[in-house]
Amino acid sequence: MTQSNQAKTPFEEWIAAHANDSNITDNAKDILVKLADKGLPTRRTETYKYTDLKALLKKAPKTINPLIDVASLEQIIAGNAVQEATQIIVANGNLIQANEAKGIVVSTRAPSALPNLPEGTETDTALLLASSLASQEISLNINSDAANAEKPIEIILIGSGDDALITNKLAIEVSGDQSPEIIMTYLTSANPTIFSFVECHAKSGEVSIIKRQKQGAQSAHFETFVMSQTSDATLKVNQLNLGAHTVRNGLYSCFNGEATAHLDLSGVTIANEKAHIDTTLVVDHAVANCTSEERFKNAIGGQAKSVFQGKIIVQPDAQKTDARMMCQSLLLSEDASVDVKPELEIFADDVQCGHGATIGEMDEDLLFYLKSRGLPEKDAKRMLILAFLSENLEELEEGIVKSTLQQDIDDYLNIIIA
Amino acid sequence: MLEIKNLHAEIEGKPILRGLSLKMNPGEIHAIMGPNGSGKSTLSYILSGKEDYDITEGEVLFNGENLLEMEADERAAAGVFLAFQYPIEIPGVTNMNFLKTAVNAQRNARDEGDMPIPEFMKLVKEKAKHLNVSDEMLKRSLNVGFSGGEKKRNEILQMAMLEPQLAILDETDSGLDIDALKVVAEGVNALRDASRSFLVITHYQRLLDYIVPDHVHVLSKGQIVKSGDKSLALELEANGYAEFVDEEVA
Repeated sequence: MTQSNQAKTPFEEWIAAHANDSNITDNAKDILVKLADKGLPTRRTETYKYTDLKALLKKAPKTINPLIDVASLEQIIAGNAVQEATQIIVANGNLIQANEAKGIVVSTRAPSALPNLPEGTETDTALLLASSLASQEISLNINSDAANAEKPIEIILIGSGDDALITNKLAIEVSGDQSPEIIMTYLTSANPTIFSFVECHAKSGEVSIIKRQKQGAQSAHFETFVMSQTSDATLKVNQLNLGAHTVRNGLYSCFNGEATAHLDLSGVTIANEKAHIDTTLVVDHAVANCTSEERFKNAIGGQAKSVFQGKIIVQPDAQKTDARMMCQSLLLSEDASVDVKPELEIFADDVQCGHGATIGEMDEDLLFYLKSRGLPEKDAKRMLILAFLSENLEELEEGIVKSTLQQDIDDYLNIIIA
Repeated sequence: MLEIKNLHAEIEGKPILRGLSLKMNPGEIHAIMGPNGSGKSTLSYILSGKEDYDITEGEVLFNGENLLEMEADERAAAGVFLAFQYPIEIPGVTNMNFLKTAVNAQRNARDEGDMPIPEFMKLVKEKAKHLNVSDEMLKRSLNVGFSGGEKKRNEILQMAMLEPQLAILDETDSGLDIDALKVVAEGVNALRDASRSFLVITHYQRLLDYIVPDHVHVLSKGQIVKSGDKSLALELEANGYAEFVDEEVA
């Protein structure tokens, strides 16, 4: 499906030119040539129906993964890191620092060829760009020696530079029963566009991965998160999206293990001004007896737009699947909008599948009740939005990570609620 | 303390209050009785600052200040409290956190600063005990899963913590059994003093056996049509509101 009838944007021209760069691999060149030829996805591509990437990403980058000095890194991180966490710092796509802790192995290597990718990722721009343009592949391996570690692990992914294009390629593999919580914190300075491709493999036990997207309002965030689980692993993924003006979260999960695995995906998005925040997920049940649950909550103000596309696939062999999906949105202004598209493709007969979506405004009666007790309008609104969103943090263990996320939400609401 | 002068109010063009006047002095308890649709709840909402109503005529003075120009939260900080007929449920906000936020919001509006936490905890425990509000109810989300009686007791707990100057009780007796009614009434009576006034809105005389009013007013079609002492409530209990709603029935 070529879209060559449309004129190429400066961004697409940049990709085409970059494909001819002498220091990239043949594999990367191949991906870039195809991407440049086909152009970025528009509304005509079903998975980008509400997020016209060609229109959103027009401007050509000035630099790719530029160097950052240590002083500015410290400035960006200050006050934004999770306290007491074991830190791994990645700046503009390169591993800068990996603090040592028992059972945690961090390594880098030259980017490998594309792995076998799950359904839906063929047109995933973040995946294609991050795979072909990343300068290194960073892998984080957490084994059973990290069991009962008291400190969470925080990967701080920094993007910096005027009109810079940043690419991260990350592979996380976790085994062992009591693995520590893993946090991915995205921070920026200036106005970079970040493309990340993260592969996460939960091999056993309960694995909890949390994303804190706290980028600046001038930046853009594209992340494709590919999950796999084997045996009876439980994977919990929690995503917080605050900050970047243009966001695409691609979440792809495939159950292909032998036993009963459980996936718990939840997300909180707050957007204002003209932000465009897209969450697109595919949960593919390929084997029997697995369960999945997705809960997403959005608070959208200004002229911002939130998109949620959630697809659950239950393959013919995936009997006894239990899959549930819910997306709830709170509109904070007249001009805020939400597009929600759930899709269920069920080919097995003994399954339970459910999906739901709600879109509403702030309840005036609740607001009046709080004001009648003395809360000024701003505080009353903040309390109600926080209460609405916090429900999605309930699954997290009590502790420093949960309280940090609550504080992140509260701080951000304080900025955007006038 | 409170002076309502010739108040006219409507909602979506439909007149509800049509020239209501009422004067309350500090320390007094006034009861407002009246049939359904007479404007009782509207009056309580207008006094506490709900924005759905258009005031077309008249004024309301609270300690000499124009109450109608104040936001709901400003009225609360100035000392107006409404115990809701149907208290609102808010999942995700614990009762305790809500009480603390409300107490401190009002204190901050009066430049008094936050109440120290030990002092706050001591006060909540003490007041909650008198109103049979359990620790578990304090930890739960605000009014979520509370029975009708628990919700009403929780309203009185808020009132006790916020110590308003004017407390408006909007059908606080509705949905209460006789024991719960006594607990609520005792909670109200414990707060009576020379400077605090109560406006008690009710359908039935029963509540007034426990919260004894100084004045009783009959509200009908948006106006106070008769005022008297507590014996007027007994009279209404015996004869009903027929005398005041004739026209509507006909």
